[in-house]
Amino acid sequence: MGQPELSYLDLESFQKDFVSPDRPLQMKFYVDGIKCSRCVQKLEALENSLPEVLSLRVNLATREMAVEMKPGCFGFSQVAEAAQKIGFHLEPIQTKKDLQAHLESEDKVELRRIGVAAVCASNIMMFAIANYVGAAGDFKIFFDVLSLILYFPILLYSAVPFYKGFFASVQRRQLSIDGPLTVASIGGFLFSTVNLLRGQGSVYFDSLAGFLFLILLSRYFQKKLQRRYLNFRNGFGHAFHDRVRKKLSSGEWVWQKSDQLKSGDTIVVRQNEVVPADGVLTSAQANVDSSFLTGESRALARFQGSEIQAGVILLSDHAEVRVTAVDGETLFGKLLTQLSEGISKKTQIQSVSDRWSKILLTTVFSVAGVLILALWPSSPEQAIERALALIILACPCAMAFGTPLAISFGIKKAFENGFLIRDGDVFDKIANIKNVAFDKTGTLTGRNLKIVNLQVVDCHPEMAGIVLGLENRSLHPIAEALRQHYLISGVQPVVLDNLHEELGRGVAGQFRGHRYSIQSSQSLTGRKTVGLFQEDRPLAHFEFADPLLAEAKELFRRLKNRGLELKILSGDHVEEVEKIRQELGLAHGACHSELTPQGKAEILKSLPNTMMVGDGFNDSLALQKSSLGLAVRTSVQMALESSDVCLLSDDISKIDSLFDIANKTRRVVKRNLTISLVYNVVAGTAAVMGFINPMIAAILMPISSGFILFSSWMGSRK
Amino acid sequence: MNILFLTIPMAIFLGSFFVLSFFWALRSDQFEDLETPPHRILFDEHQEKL
Repeated sequence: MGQPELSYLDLESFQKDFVSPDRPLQMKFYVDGIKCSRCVQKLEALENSLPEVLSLRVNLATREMAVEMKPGCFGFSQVAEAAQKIGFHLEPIQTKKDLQAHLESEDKVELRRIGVAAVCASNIMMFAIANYVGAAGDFKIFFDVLSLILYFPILLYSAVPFYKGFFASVQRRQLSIDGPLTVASIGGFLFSTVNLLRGQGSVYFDSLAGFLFLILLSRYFQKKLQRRYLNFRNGFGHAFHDRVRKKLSSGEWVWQKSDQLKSGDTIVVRQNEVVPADGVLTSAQANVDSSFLTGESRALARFQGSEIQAGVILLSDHAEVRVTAVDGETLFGKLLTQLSEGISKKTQIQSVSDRWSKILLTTVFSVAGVLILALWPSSPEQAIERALALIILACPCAMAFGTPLAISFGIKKAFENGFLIRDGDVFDKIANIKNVAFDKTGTLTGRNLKIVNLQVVDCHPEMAGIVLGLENRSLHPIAEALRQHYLISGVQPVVLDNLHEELGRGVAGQFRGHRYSIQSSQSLTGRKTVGLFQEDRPLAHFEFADPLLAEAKELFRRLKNRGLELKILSGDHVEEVEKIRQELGLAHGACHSELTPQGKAEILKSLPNTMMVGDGFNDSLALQKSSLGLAVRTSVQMALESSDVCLLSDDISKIDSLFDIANKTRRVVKRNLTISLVYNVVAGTAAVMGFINPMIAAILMPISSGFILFSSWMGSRK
Repeated sequence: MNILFLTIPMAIFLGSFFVLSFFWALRSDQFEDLETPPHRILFDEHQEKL
C-alpha cells in the first residue's frame, strides 16, 4: 500500500531543520505506540533489516528514536515506512536549538562541577581529619597546603555559578542566596590562605569545600526534581501538521512545510486535520469543529466562499482553502502572541520565602559589617573570623534549600494526585484564592453530546438500523452521540443507497424505496434537537445536551464547603449555560455566557484572587490572565504555556485536593522557615559573641540542614 | 609516615581518574537514557550486525 506521503522525509529542505548539526546523518523521531521493551526490540531489529541504516536507538522513557544513516544515504522515509508496517507511527522531531538543548547542556556542566567538588572535598576532608586527630608541625602544614591546592578546583570551577548569581543580583541591586555563598567561598579562601602563610590561626578549606559541595548537590537535585515533573511530551501531537499539500498554479499538488505558507496559496485540508491558516473555502462545502477556538460545541457548516479560521478542525472529508492570512495575522496567531507576552509577567511574583530570605540576608550582612568595623581596631583576625562564622552560619539554609525542597515535595505529591505544577509560586497563590471560575464546554461537561430525550412519533421496526446506517460515517458530534446510543444495543446498521450529507442540514439516504433523513428539527426546550424523517414524516425526535459531569457536581459541593465563590464563564449559548447553572445551583450573577476568549480574560482581570479552570486553546488566554490558571483535558505542553497547573486526570473533582496539598506544603515551608530562623538567631548571636569559630559554624550548618531535610521529609508523608 | 608519599599521590590519582571517567561518561550521553538499557540486555536473539 506504499505510503508516498512519507517521501517528504527525504527532501533536503526538510531535513535541514531536523538533522542535528554535528550529526548530519541522524534524525530523531517521536514514536507513537511504544509501550514496552518488546516494542523497543521490534524497532531496533530494523537496524539489521534495512541496509542503509547505520544505527537505530530507541529510548523507552521518552519514546524517542534516533536513526543514523550510513554515509551517502538519506532514505529516512524507508525507516518510517518500515516502522509503519510493524505498527508504529514516526513523527520527526526538530533539532533542539532552543531551551531544551540549553537546559541539557547546562545540566551536564553542573554535574561536572559537582563531580569535581565531590572528589576535591572528600580528599580535603581526609587531610583535615589527620589534622584534627593531631597531626602537627610539618605534617600539619603539608596537609594544609594540599587542602589549599585541592580547594582551587572548587574555588575556580565548581563555585562559579554562585559568583555569577551574585554578580547578576548585584547588577539588579538585590541580595540573593548567592551572596553569602560567594563571600564564604572567596572570603574563607583568602582568610585561610593568609593564616596558612602566616603560620598561625585557623584554616577552613575542609569546611568550605564540604559546605559548597552540599549546596551544589542540593540545588541540582531540587532543580532536577522540579523539571522532571514539568518536562513532558504530550501525547496529542502538535497543534498543526508540519506540512501541508499546496496547489501550484499548474494545478499540481506539492507538499510544503506549513510555516512557508503565504496568503494566496491554495491548500487542501483533510479530515481531522487542523486548518493551519485563515482562509476562504474554495471547495463546495465543509463541516468544521471550532470548539478548539471558541468552545462552542456545535459543528459548523461552511460553504464555498465562507471564511475558515486557523485552528478549526475539519470534520468532513477534505476541503480546499485559499489562504488569506497566516501566522500572527490569524486569530489563532494573535492568541498565541498574547499568550507568550503574558508568560514573562507571571513569574515576577515573589514568594514569602524570597522576602524573608532577603530580610535575613540584609540583616546578616549588616551585622557582619558592623562586627568587622567594631572589632577591627582591636583584633582584625577576630573580626574576620566572627564575621565569617556568622555568614557561613546564617547562610539562609532553609531558604537556600528548605523552601525549594518543601515545594519540590509538594509538587511531587501534587503529581501523584494528577496535577502538573509549573512552579512553586502556585502554592502561595492557592492560599489567596477566593473565587473559582469554570469554563463550561469540555470542563464541566464532557466534549461529547448525549441523547437526553428520545421521543418516538411513529414506530418503525428498523429505526435503529436506519439511524445507524445514516450516521455511520459522519464525524458530526450528533452522529457520534447517535452511534454511541445505538451501538450499545448491538443493532447492525442497514445499508442505504445514495447516502449523502447535506451540509448544515443533515444526512439523507434511500432504503427500500423510501427516503430517510436525519435533520435538525423544532425544539421545545432550547436543546439541540434532530428528527428522523421518512420522506417528510417525522418518525422520532432526539434531544441532545452536553451532560454535566457527575464529578463537576461533586467538585462544586466540595469547593462551596471551602467557602469559595464559584462562577461559570462560557463561550456557549445562554440556554445551555442556564441549564448547567440550575443544575449546579449557582446564583444568577455567577454565570456569563457567549463570551469570546478576550471577554473571559477581561472578566478575570477585574476579579482578583480568582482561579480559572478551563480546557483547550480557547481558554488559554483566560487561564493566563487569571490569578491562577488550572487547565484540564488538554495537551500538557499547551497547558503549561498558559496555566500554572495542569490536571492530568480526567476527574475534575480532584481539583479540591489541590487546596489541601497547597496548605500542607505551605505549612512545611513555614516550619522550615521557623527552624532556620531560630537556628540563625541563636547561632548567629553566638557567632557575634565569638563563641563559634568558622569550623564549628561549618559543622552546625549541615546539622541544621539535616533538621530541614527531616522536616520536609516528614511533611511529604501522609 | 613515609607511606604517605605513596598513598596521597595514589588518592589524588584515583580521584582524578574517577573525575575524568565521569566526564567521559557524561560526554558520551551515558546518563541520557537510564531506562531502556536494562531492558535491552534481556532481548533474546541478539543478532550481530552484518
